[in-house]
Amino acid sequence: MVKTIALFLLAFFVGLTLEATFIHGAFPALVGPDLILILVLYLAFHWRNTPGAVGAFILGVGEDFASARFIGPNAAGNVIAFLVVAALANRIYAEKGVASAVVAFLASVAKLGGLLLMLKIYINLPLSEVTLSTALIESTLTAVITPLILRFFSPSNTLLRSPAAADAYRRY
Amino acid sequence: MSDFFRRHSLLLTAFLLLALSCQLMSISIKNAAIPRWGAKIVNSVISPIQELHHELFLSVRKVWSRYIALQNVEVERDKLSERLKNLEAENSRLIEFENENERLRKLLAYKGATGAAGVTATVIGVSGGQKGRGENRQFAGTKAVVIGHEPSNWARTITIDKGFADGVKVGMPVVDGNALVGQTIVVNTNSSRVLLVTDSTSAIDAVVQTSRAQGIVEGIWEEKLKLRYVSRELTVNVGDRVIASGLDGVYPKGTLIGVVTNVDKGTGGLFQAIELQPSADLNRVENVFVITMPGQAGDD
Repeated sequence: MVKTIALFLLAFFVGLTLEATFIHGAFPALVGPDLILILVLYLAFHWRNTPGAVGAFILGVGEDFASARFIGPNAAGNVIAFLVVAALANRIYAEKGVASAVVAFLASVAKLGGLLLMLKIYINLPLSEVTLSTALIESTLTAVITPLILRFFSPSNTLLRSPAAADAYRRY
Repeated sequence: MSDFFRRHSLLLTAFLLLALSCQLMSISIKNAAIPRWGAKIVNSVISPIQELHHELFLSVRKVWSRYIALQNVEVERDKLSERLKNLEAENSRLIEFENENERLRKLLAYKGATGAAGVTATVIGVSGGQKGRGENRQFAGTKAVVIGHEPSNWARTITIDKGFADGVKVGMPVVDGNALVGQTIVVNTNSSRVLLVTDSTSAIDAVVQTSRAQGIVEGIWEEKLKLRYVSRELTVNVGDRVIASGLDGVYPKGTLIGVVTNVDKGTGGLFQAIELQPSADLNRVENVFVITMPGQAGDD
């Protein structure tokens, strides 16, 4: 359990560093994908329970700390995305290929909807065409790279799966 | 009852977490030190890697531009670009001196015409502000390099390679030689986070250079700025330069913020809607100057 938490923390910092350097550092004018959301997707696929939801919330708090402005928007967005993915993953197999890309797109839209709603309510962030197009581009980019990254967290990597899911995989 | 909670534990947990997020948001709006304290910890892990990435990125770019593409052109371009920035900053200061000259002439003419006795004075504060003495300040500072950008698409900050060890404190203004870039909000030992002027939480007390109309410049996140609370009766034209008034005691008086791109007086209300284009190229800024003013208060 401790190893799993440590690995998730490591993955979180790697994702954040990539976003702050290679993605936004190299091309600051461009919109980038949300790498932390992919970790939330992984949690929703394999830890579809209360600890998973808390994990998604903590990842969001970490993202909010990285922005140095407010705590709450990314945390709320991650929880909403987690719920959406958990609801979809209960009904369809969405861990690979096109299905995972579609789920990632929907999760990103849900997360950004929650995030922008909070910013609109609390600080009156203007919601314009630019805001919506940025949200759309971010969701699309996240959806495109999700299948590639989820392959990295392949079923053989039992360290990142919940104990019940690891048992099920071993039996299978 | 317990069966209900067990069956819906995930949903109930999610609602509780959402309520907690809203509460945390309210707390962090009232007390900005809390998210910044967390940002210091995250920055301390990420900024060394940002610095390394920046060095690698620069090296690759130098090899490309000096050896594979064109030789020496990049050096000449950088020199000319630096000279242009200095000339534009000087131009902004000279325009300010010219305007002040004109105002003082008018005051002298008024005194001569009426025979009234009195003294001229400089406005140093409005409604309780006490620190704006920009004209007579001597500015010191430290050069810094931008080593990283905001990880998310929904905030506007940059990371620079100077921190406590170099005399940087929270709340110091940052310029790029020509215009205002932002203000330091999180300071680690060897790096700092700068809130850009285009961020939606940025607010600067400003004045239109020609008409002297005063207002507040706020970021609207879309790489643009808005000048708010300018009365509809005052004249502001497209192309007017907007500068910091110095009355907030943070940004030096006369520092260029942006140029007016759109003015909408509307049909009602007290104020006109004015849009600005920031004069600093915030997407391409690489070298900045952190102004360390005498008597500047910082925390931590």
